[in-house]
Amino acid sequence: MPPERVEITDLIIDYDPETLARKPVRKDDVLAAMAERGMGRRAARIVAGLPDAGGVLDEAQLDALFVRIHAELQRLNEEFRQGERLLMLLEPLLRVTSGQRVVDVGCGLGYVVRWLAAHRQSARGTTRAWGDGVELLGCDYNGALVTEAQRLAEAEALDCGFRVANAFRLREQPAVFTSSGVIHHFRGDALAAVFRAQAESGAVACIHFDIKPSWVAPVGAYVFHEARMRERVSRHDGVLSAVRAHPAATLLQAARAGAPEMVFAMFDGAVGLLPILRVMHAVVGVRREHAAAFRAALGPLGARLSELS
Amino acid sequence: MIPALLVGLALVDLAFAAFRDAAGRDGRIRKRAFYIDAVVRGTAIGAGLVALLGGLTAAVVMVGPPGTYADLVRIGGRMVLVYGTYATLVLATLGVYVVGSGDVRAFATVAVLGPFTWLRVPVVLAGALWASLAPADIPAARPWAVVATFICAAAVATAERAFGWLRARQRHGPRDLPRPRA
Repeated sequence: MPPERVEITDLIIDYDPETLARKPVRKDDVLAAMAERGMGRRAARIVAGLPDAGGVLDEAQLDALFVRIHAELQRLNEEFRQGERLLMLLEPLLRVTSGQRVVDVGCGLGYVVRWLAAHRQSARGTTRAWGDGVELLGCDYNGALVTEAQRLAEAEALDCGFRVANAFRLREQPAVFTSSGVIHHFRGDALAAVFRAQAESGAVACIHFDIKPSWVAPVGAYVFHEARMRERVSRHDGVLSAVRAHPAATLLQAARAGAPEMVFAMFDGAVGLLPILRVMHAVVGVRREHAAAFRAALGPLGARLSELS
Repeated sequence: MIPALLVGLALVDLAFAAFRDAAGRDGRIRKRAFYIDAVVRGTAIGAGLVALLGGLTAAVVMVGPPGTYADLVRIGGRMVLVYGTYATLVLATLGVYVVGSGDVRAFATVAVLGPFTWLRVPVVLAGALWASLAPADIPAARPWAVVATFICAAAVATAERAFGWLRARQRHGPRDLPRPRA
């Protein structure tokens, strides 16, 4: 069986897993990998059109491309209110776990982290206030995205930070891990390994949002990415992300196998008759000792969370 | 009345096109001023485009055979029906998105706002085609009216791309995201 199709952005950039240093990527190697995966002529044309120098993809141009792609992604996250969606779960989690740090894994331009910082700033002193003293941190391997995220945070004087780092190897003990649209990039054993690394790093909880797979998700992703995205890479990868999104059962199985010291549940996991109503789902994890308090703190929202086990 | 309605619909459409062209280009969280600026500039450019198309249509009416204006109005009536229905649905859904919460917003976005943006160009062109099939009182005027109709429809349909092209030609300001040199 040939290896499965992957997002172009997973192939055109490479890092040393230990040092996180960028490794040169040859265009021919990418095209060969895509052919092996049966990714089709359209994807090959996109990669063939990427700028290179002597056959090696141009890092500076790729950095600029990634920033533009993530800005377009931010637009989708804004439209789908990803910040609000995360805060619904994060606020009660922080309350019951007394978490002092939120770490966003694969933060990209840090939209969610910056949105949380902006929201916390504007809610301070009101009944909507939350997270006073909680550190908001975004981590990504891509230095260009992290630099841009930091620049944007400083431009708006937002109380949050960004680092080029493996989120699971931070010196500080993170309290709550979050991510949006990242978890499906981990396949097979690597998915369980993420939850293991997360638990071993001292996390008290996690909220990993991703596209909810359903019969309509690829069609919806196609329509939305055609309508909203300008970059051809974004259009291609957006649809593939919907195709590759993990079902709830896969996420829960991997999470429970990887981190038996935590309990997990799906938020908005049921596909139901109208999958277009809730297009994202999240695997939510919490240390066992906080499980009952977390469910109670959710209030009516708890109806959208499956059993924590 | 019909020309005024078409002008109004074109201006609203071009304002939205300008918003969409700006969306996804500025990574800040609070950027209302950026969007307002984009929409105002887009609407101004759109007004110029509409004036240009109005001039072109007037020229067609003057050069074309007698009855060209009446035929344009007949075609325009059908266009108003198509574009007016489209615009009403989108604006009503946008209203729901603005005042709604959580799931209602998601539904408005997924069911209407996204797909209707995707369908915009086909709707503009299909509307012009259907309108051009309206029964003609003066057959000699129809080719002139159809040409004017399709030039106007194509110009409005491609305006969003034109906004992007104009933006790319301008010198990037500090808010713009990095773009490699061509």
